[in-house]
This record gives sequence, structure tokens and C-alpha cells, in this order.
Amino acid sequence: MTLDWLLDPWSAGFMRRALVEAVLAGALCGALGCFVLVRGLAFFGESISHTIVLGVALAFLAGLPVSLGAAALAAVTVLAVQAIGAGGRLSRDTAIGILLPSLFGAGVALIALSEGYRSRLEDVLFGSILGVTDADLILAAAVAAAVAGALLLAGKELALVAFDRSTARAMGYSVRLLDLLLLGLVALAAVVALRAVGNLLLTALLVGPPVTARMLCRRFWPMVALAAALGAGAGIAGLYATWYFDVGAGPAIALAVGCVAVAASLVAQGRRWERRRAATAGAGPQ
Amino acid sequence: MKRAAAGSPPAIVALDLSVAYEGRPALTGVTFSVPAGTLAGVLGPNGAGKTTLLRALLGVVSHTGSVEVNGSTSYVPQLSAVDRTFPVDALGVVLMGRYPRLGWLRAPRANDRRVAAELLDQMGLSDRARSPFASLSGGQRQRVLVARALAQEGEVMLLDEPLTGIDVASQEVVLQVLADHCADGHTVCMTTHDLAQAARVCDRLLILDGRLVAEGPTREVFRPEIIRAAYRAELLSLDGETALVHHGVHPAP
Amino acid sequence: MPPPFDAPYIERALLAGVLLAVPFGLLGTWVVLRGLAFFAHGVGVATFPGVVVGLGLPALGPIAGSLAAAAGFTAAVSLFERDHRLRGGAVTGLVLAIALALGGLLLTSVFRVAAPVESALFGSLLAISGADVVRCAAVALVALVTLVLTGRSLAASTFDREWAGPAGLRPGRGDVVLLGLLALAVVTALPAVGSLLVSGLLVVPAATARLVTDRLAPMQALAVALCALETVLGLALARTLDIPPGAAVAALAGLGFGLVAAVAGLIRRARHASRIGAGA
Repeated sequence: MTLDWLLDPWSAGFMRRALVEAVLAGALCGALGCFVLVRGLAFFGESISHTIVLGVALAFLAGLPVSLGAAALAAVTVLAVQAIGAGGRLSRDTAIGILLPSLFGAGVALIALSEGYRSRLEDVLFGSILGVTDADLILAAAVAAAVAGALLLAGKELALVAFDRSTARAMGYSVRLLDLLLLGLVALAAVVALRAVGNLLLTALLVGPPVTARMLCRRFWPMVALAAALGAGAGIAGLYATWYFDVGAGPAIALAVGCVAVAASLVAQGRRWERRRAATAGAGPQ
Repeated sequence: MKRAAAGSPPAIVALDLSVAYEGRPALTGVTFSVPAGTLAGVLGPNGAGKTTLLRALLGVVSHTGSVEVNGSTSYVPQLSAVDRTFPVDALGVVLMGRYPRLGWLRAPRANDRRVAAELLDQMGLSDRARSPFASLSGGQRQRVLVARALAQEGEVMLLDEPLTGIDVASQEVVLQVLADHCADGHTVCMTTHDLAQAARVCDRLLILDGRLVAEGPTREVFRPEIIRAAYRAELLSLDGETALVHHGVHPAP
Repeated sequence: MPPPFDAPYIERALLAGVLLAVPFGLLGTWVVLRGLAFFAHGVGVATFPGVVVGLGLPALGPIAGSLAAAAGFTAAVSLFERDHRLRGGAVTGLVLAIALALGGLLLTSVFRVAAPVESALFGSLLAISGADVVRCAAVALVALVTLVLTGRSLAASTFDREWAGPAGLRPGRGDVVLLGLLALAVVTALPAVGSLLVSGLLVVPAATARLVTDRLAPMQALAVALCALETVLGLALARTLDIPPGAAVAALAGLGFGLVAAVAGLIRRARHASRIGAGA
């Protein structure tokens, strides 16, 4: 009995780099996703992952770093959602729903106008984790360090705002600043994950691990830790699938996340039915 | 029409009514009746089951025991339940009260519009008929919702906290309209927080605390020992103003 | 026909676009007023694996495949969204992400469909057949009749669901009608605009119309008109620049919203200023 098959994939340099990128992106998105989940911001995360494509396209045309353009568009999205919602006639949900197709459509149109369009578009949509460079890894590590630092410093404040906004405000916290911090961190993570799984599947990493963890944990911080571990684990599992079954890495990682989430939800649903049956049986015949 | 004479069948009859949400009892063993043509007030502390009682009378929650409402109902839910940003004007909201009788195929006719306009006039809002619902004050919105229920032309009207959080002028308009509605032979049943107001305007009171504490004509039921039992608090009366003084923490619902 | 509109396939695309403006404008109004934007986006995206499977299995076909996927998405979201711990569209996000991953995986490994990915995701002017135009007309007719008949009940239950139920307007039935029509309209529009940007046609024109009016019927009429205008201009742009039609239509719709929002903001500010001036 040998465990060669476990180590085989990592003999190639590009797979080792992909492993680091997948673990960093998965853990980052998993942990941040918990704040996204408890704040009810899933649509916002989905929207940002699409609108930054316009930033990527603009940065490419201007010859600037891609991550800079993506971060700029993430900021534009945050501000525009608040501006549209402030009018009072359109809900935040609608505001996000306006920005997603508008900016994403503009981004796709721009990419379609440039040379080498098809391959570039596919890289943006589904990621290109097997082509990760050392510079990408340095960016991912820096973002991971920044997000970890921010969560260590302001994690409990962010959790407080999620749980009880008005109390947090009454306690003297700047709720708006904390909102911006969270959205900024999500935007940073999105830039990293764009490389790993592409913009189409970013939501899987941002929403999947936290949803799974929420069904298995009762308290918040264990949920964050579990979600980070699940995100990293999905990255590793996805890369194994890529190596052995020759499937796209982005879809494989996203599908690993999805499988775990579906399994956890079935377990949770089963438990609930069990409890209900027990409650009815306990009440006895009337 | 005059108020229904004694001996005519009651508008609402509940026998041993119980409601539970996911195994937790909200209302247990409630038995009462409301004669036709009366204005009945439902009182009780928070979590006493006031809204649950209305929902049982409407038939939208499952219950044990029996509930009988003689005639069709119209309903005024709590003001907070409506979508204030919906693009509709005051007259449009009142007109919605006619929709159930129109069904899918018929459009509102001139008669429906006339009824809606008259009801708005009764509520003192004829000059706001074309104003967006969102632009009205809280009290004006509540008056529009009461007008919508009147447009349903049901025999029994159920209102959930119609007077909470609205200005005094609007409260007076609503109470006057409800009194007139009863005088026409209709039955009105409303939940309220305001003990003094309930004592002043209601013909009958129903006092709840997860179960029925007391029910009957106001002057028989509105007595300090009964109120104290329901609210677990001291009733204070100063120059006709009535106030509650709570002991310790609020009882858990 | 003048230059951008001079090929038979572009005539078909334009006809399909104008026909689809009816269901999209009307449905979009309800999507905006009921806060269903994420669901609308999700149901579009979720059709992607259905299209891939349908293209891979000719016996099934992309239309049946995408219809099945849309129905599956609607059922899954309705079933799991009742879990109060997973609010704010977490379920919608997760299900649509799984659907996309599945589509991507099937496309790259199982079916290896010849059709390029981007026409499934962003639509293609060439993909619209005569049968598609007939389907668009049928869906437009069904949606128009159904939404006119159920419009009052939908309005009353969107405005105040607590009241509509006891009043006998059956809000649950309205929900089913709305979600069913939404899935049908989205699937019909797939060849033209693709699965990723279909929400651009559903949400953006209706939201633009909401900025201009406080009344329901004018909002619906305006949404249909804007939807038709933006589709026609978007298809012309897509043909002229040779870019995917879904992207062109969505970007134009966004531009339209931005312009109307800016003008509406200026007007409001001017009115406000004149009111203050009159009061002084």
C-alpha cells in the first residue's frame, strides 16, 4: 500500500503554486464569507465578482496591474449601490441587480473588442489557477495577511455590527466605516479568487463554505474557522480532481464546495424532520 | 340599520380555541362570543396572543377547537406589514379592497371607484386621493388601510393595533368611522395597547394572557383586579387617566 | 433596411428582441417591486448546465435542458430558502454557483460541445432561428394575458401580503405564476442574450421606469418601451462592433439607467431649490 497517489500531483511546480493559491483563496473567502452570510450580503458578493471584470478589462487596456482595476471597480460598485439605494424608490437588492449586468456587460464588451479575446475571456470567467505565477502568489499572501490582520483587529466589531446594528451604533462604533471595511475586504478577496476560480465561480467560494459551516456550528467563531478550513479543503480536493480526471480546476473546486454544502444541508434537514417527529410523538395522541 | 337586537345570532363564536406555533402554545382554551353590531376590544400584554386570535378568526392559522364567524370578514393588518415603497396612490389602495369581489377577469367599474372615493372622503382624505401612499403620514396611511377594509364590505371587521403609533387626530377619525360602522349593524373587533382608550370606546372587552382572562361588557370587565391579573401590574388611576405600573421584568411570552 | 439591420438573421434577432420586451418589461416590474433581482439573475445563470447538457444530448435539446434547469433552480431555492439561518440570498448564491460549476465541468470534460462557451453565456445574433421568433411571440402572448389577468392580485399582495391572504386573493398562486413565467421568459431569451446577462433586461429597464413614475401602469408601459428600445440599440451595437449581444444590451441598459438617474436627480435638486427659494 503506497500513498504515492496523494503526493503525485505536487511533483509539478505549477501544481505546487496552484495548491498555495487555492488554499489561500479558499481560506480567505471562507472566513470572510461568514460575515457576508450573517450580514445577508450574498447578492452583493455575487455582484462584485462580476463587476470587477470591467476593472480587469480597463486595467488591461490601460496597461495597469489587473488587481488595481478590479479593486477600483469593487469600490465603484460599493459606492453606486449606496447611491442608488439612497434615492428611496429602489431597494438595495434592485440596486445590486442593476449594477451587476450593466458593469459586467460593459466589461465583457470591452474584452470582446480586444485581441485574443476568447482565451482571455475564459481565463476571467473560469480562472486559470494552473497558470499562477510567483507574483500572483505574493499578492495572494499579502492579501491573506491583510485580511487576517483586519479580522484580528476588527473581527469582533464586524460581528457585533452584523448581530445588532443599532446597539453597535449606540456604543459609539462607526457602523458605516465598518461596513466599508467589510466590503473592502470582500473586494480584496475577490481579486485573489478571480485568479483561482474565475469570476463566475467566486460566489461558490464566498457562500458555500459559510453556508455549510452555519449548518454545523452554533457559535460564530468556530463557524469562521470551519468555513476557512472547508474553503481550503475544497481547493485541495478540486486540484486532485483536476490532476486525475482532467477537468477544469475552477469548476472542480466550486463543485467540491457545492457537494459538501448539499451533504450538510441534507444532514441538517434530516435532523429537523427527526426532531419534528419526536415532538409529535412526545405530544401523544389527543 | 339599528344595532342588532338581543337574541340575534352572535357575529363571532369561539369554543375552546387553541393555537400553537411549532409546538409552542400561543393561545389555549379560549371561549367567547361577540354579539353582532358591537365594537369589541382585545386587550393583553405583549405576547398575549392578540394577533394570533385575529389570525385564527380569519382562518389563516391552524387551530383546535371551533371558531365561527357569521358573515364575511375584512381585515386591517398592522401598519408595519405594508410595502411603503410600492407605486400606488391612496385611492388605488382603497380600490384594492374591491379586488377580491372582482376576481381575475373583471376590471374595477365606476361604482367601485365611487365607493372608494366616498370612503376616502369619510376618512377626511379626499384631497390626498392622488398622492402616492409613500408620501402620506403614518396616521393618514392607517386611515387609508381602514378605508380599504371598509371597501371590502364585510360583515365583521378585524383590526390589528389600528391606533398604535398614529397621531391623535387620525385616531379620532378612525374611532368615529368604526363607531358609525357598528351603528350600521356591522361587528368590529380590534386589538389595542391603550387601556384607557379601549375602556372609553369599546362596547365589550376581551382580555387575553395566553388564555382568556375575562370577557364581557366593558363596564363589567374593566376592573382593576382583572387588569392586574392580566398584566401582572398595578393599575393607577389619576383624574380619569389610567396608567399601568409594572412590577419587575415583563413576563416572558 | 439600413446598414446594421441589413441581414436576414439580424431581422430575426430584432423581431425576437421586440417581442421579448413585452414579457421582460412586465415581469421586470414585479422583479423590481418584489426584490427578486437576485432570483432573476440566478434563474438565468442556472440554465447554463441545462443548455450544455441539451447541446450534448441532441435528443433533449437546449430548450428542454434549460427549462428543466430553470425549474430545478426554482424548486431548490424555494425549498431551502425557508431556513431562516441562511438569509440574504445565500441559498440562491450557492445554488447558482453549483449550477455554473456543473455547467463548466460538463462543458470541459463530459460533452465537449462544439459551440463556443460565450454564445451560451452571452448570446449570439446568429443563434436565433425562425422557430425562436415564433417561441418569443408565443411567450409574449402568454405573459401578456396572464400578467394582465393576475396584475391586480399581484399588486395587492406585493403591497400588503398580510392583507391579501385573508382577503382571498391567494398570494401563493400569484407567486407560482410569477416564478413560472420568469423561468419561461428567461429560457426563451437565452439564444439572443445568453444566460449570464439576462437579468440586465429584467431588472434594469423596470428600475429605470421606477425612477420616472410613482404609478404602476405607466411604470409597466415605460419598462416595456425601454426594454424594446435598449434591445434594438444593443443588437445593432453588437452587430456593428462584433461583440456578444448580451453584453451590448446589458451595457446599454446600464447606460440608460445612469442617464435617467442623473436627469431625475438634477430635476429633483432644481425643484427642491425652487421650493426653498419660494419659501424664503
